[in-house]
Amino acid sequence: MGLSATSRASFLSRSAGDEEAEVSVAGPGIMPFDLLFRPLWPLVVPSAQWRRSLKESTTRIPDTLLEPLRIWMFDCYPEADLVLRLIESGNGSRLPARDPLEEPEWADPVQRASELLWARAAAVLSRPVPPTVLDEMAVTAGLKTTDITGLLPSLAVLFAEAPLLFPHGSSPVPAVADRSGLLAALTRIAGTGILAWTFAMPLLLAARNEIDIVLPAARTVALSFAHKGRYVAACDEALAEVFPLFEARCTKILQDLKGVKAVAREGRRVTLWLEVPDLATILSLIRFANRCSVHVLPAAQLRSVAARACRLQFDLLVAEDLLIHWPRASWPDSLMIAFERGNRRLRNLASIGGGLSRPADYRDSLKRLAKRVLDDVHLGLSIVERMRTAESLIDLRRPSALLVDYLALLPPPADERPSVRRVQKETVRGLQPWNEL
Amino acid sequence: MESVLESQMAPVASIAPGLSIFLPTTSPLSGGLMLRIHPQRPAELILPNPFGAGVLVAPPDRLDDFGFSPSAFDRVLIRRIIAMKPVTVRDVQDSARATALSGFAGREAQVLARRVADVAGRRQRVLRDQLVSMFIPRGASPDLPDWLAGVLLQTGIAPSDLSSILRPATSSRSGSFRPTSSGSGAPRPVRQPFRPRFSPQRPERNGAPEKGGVPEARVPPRLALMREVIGGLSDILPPDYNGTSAGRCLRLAEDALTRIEALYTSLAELLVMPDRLTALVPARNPFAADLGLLAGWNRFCLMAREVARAPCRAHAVADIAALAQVLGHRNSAGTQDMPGANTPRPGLSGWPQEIDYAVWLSERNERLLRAEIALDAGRA
Repeated sequence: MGLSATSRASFLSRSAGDEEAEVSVAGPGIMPFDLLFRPLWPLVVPSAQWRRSLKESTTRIPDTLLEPLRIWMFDCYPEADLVLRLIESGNGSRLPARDPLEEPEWADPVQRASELLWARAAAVLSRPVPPTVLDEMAVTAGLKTTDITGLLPSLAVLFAEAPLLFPHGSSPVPAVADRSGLLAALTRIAGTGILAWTFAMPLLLAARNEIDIVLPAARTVALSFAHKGRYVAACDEALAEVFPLFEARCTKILQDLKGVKAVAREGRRVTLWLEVPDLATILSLIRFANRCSVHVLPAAQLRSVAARACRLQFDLLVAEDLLIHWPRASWPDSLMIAFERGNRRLRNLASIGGGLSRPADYRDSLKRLAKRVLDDVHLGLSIVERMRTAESLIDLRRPSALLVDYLALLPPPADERPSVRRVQKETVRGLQPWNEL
Repeated sequence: MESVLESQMAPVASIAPGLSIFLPTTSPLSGGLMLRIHPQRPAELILPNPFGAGVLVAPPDRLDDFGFSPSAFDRVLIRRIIAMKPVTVRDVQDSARATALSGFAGREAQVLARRVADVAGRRQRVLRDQLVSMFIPRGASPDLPDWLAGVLLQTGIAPSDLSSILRPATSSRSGSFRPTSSGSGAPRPVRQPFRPRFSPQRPERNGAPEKGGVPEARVPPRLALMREVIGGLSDILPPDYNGTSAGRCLRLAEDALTRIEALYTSLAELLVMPDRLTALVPARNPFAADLGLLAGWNRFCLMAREVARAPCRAHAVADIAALAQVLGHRNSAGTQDMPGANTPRPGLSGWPQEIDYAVWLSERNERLLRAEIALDAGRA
C-alpha cells in the first residue's frame, strides 16, 4: 500500500493510488477521503453536470464540494493518528499485537476507521460553519455560498444517521434496525427537510438494509408529513433510480477492469470495487423487483451487468491471490485473522455471483485456491490451518486427504478396539501348530 | 434435577438412559450436536434432522451421509472423544478446548483458548488448594478435590460468592428440587452455615444465604446468561409464533433453567455444608446429566440473543427450537417430553438467496464457540 512512509502527509492529500498505477490496477482507495465519502456514491455527480440541470441540482451533490469539506473536517482532527493506524492495519500485515477479548473493534480496522470518520463528519457539520470558511469553500468548489449553505444541513443529517444509511462491515446479512428506532431515524431525516429526505432515500436503498422493512417504513413516515406528495414521490423515485445507479456503477467497473492483467501484490486488497454488502444489495433488489413486478426491465439489465462485473472482479481477485507471496514463516495472529476474513469474503462473493449468474462459474476458481493452499508446502501455514482454509473455501463433502491422515494419527475409537481378552485369545490361537495348516 | 443419591445409583436397566453431553459444533448445521454415551454400547450422535423434522441418531464416526458436511473441528473433536471409553463431561470440555487450541476453529478461537487454558490451569490449582484447606472433610474420597475443582471451574462458581446463587433459590423457583436430606414432614433444621476459617479476598462476605444477597455478588457467567436470556425469552419468542413450536421451546427452556438453577444451588449448598461432601463419589459422575447439557443451554441462550438480528426470523426460531429439541431428547420420550418432534423446519426457499446458508451457519457457529470459550474466561 505504501502508506506508512507518507502517512501523515497523505492524510491531507486526496488519494495514494497514483504511484501504484504501473504496478497493479489501483482499486478503490482506502485513504481517509475515500472512506469518508465512499457511501455517498449514489449522490455525487460532476460539478458541471450539477450546475447544468435543475433536477440534478435538487437531488445530487457536486463533487467539487467534497474536497473543501474534507479540509474543513480534518482540520485539527484529534483522532487522525488512530484512523491512519487503523487504515494501515487493514490487510493484517501491520496490525499491532491486539487482544481480541479486550478490543473487538480491531477485528475490522477499516470499518472502524470509517465509523470514526463518519462520526467526526457528523460532529463538524452539526456546528455552523464560519462565514470566512464558507467563502473559501465556495471559491475552491466553484459554487455559490448559498448553494453550500443549502446543502450542508442535509449532509449533516446523512452523517449523523450513518448506522442506517451507510453500509457496514463485510457481512451479507442485512442490518435490521428495530422498527421504532428505524421510524425515529427516518422522522429525524424527514424533519430536516425535503432535500435531506431526497438525499437519504437512495442511500437507504443502496445500503444493506432489508428493503421489505425500510421501504414501508419510509413511506409511512413520508405520509405523515404535510407535503406528503413530494416525500412519497422521493421514495418512489429512489426505488426507480437505484437500478440504473447500480447499473452505471457496474458498467464503470467493467470498463476499469477490462483487460487488466493480474500482477503480484504484497497482500490482498483491502477494499474492492464491489464489496459483499453491495452485491448482496444488488441481488436482493433484483429479487424484490421480480417478486413485486416493479421495475422488472431495469432489474434484468442490472442483473446481466452486475453478473459480468462480479465475475470479472472475482477472477481478478483469484488471479492476484494465486500470485501473492505469502510469508514462509508461521503467520502472526493479525495476518491469519485477516486471511480468514478474506477467505470468507471470497466465498461470499462466489455465492452471490453464483446467484447472479451460475454457481458453476465460480466453483473452479475456489477449487484452485483451495488446491494451492493444500499443496503448497512452502506456505507458512500449519497442517491444521491448511485444512481449515480449504474447508472455508470449498464445501467438502468428504474429508480431505490431509484430514484423513490426521484422523489416522489419532487413537482409534474405543468401541472398535478389540478387548484384551480377545487379543489374547487370538494370539494364543495363532500360536497353535495347527493354525499353520 | 436428580438428587445426589439418585445420581450415584448404578444403572440397573438394560436400556440405560445414557449420558448426554453437548458438543460445541462448528459445522454448518442448524441446532447443535449431542453425544450420548452408554456404558456398554457404542456412543451415539444426536443431531437435528437436516432433511426435515425430528432428530437423527447417527454413529459418531461415520458422518458423511447425514445431509451436512461436518467441519474438521467436529470430526477431530468427536474422534478424540470416542477414543476414550469412560467419558466424563470434563473430558468432553477439555477435548473441545484442546481441539480449538490446535487451531481447528480458527486463529481467533485458538488465541482465546490459549488464554483460557492458562487462566483455567492456574485457577484449578488455586481452587483445589482452597477446597482442600477449607472445605473437604475428613473421610471424603481422595479424588474429590480435583473433581470438585473441575466442576466449580466448569460452572464458574467461586466459593467466595455463593450468595448470588443461593439467593433466588430460597425465594420460589427451585425449592422443590433441592435434595431433601432431612425428614419429609418436619421443617428443615436451621443449620449454621459453614464458615471458612479465613476467606482471603472478602472477609465480610462469608457465603451466608440467610443474610440476603450481597448486591455486588458476582453471579457465575453461565448462570447469569441463562437467567437473563430465558427470563426474557417470551419477548424474543412470542408463543403464538410459528404454530406452537416456539411455545414448546419456551417451556423446555424454562424447565432447563429450573434444572440448572437447581444444579447451582446443590453445588453451592455442598460448599455451605461441606460434611455432605463425604457422600459424594466422583467416580459415579454425580450431577453429570445437568453438567453435560449446561454448555448446550448456554449456546441456546447465545442463539436466542441473536434472533432479532438473524437474516430470517423463521429460520432463527426453527434453529433454536431444533437445539432445544436435541437437548431435550430422551430415548424414552413421550410426546409431552419431546415437543415439536414432527414440526417441519422451514425450507431454503424462505432463506434470502444473497446469503450463503452454509457459510453463514458455520461462521455463526464459530462465533458462538468463541463466545462459549470466553464464558470460561469469566466474561458474560
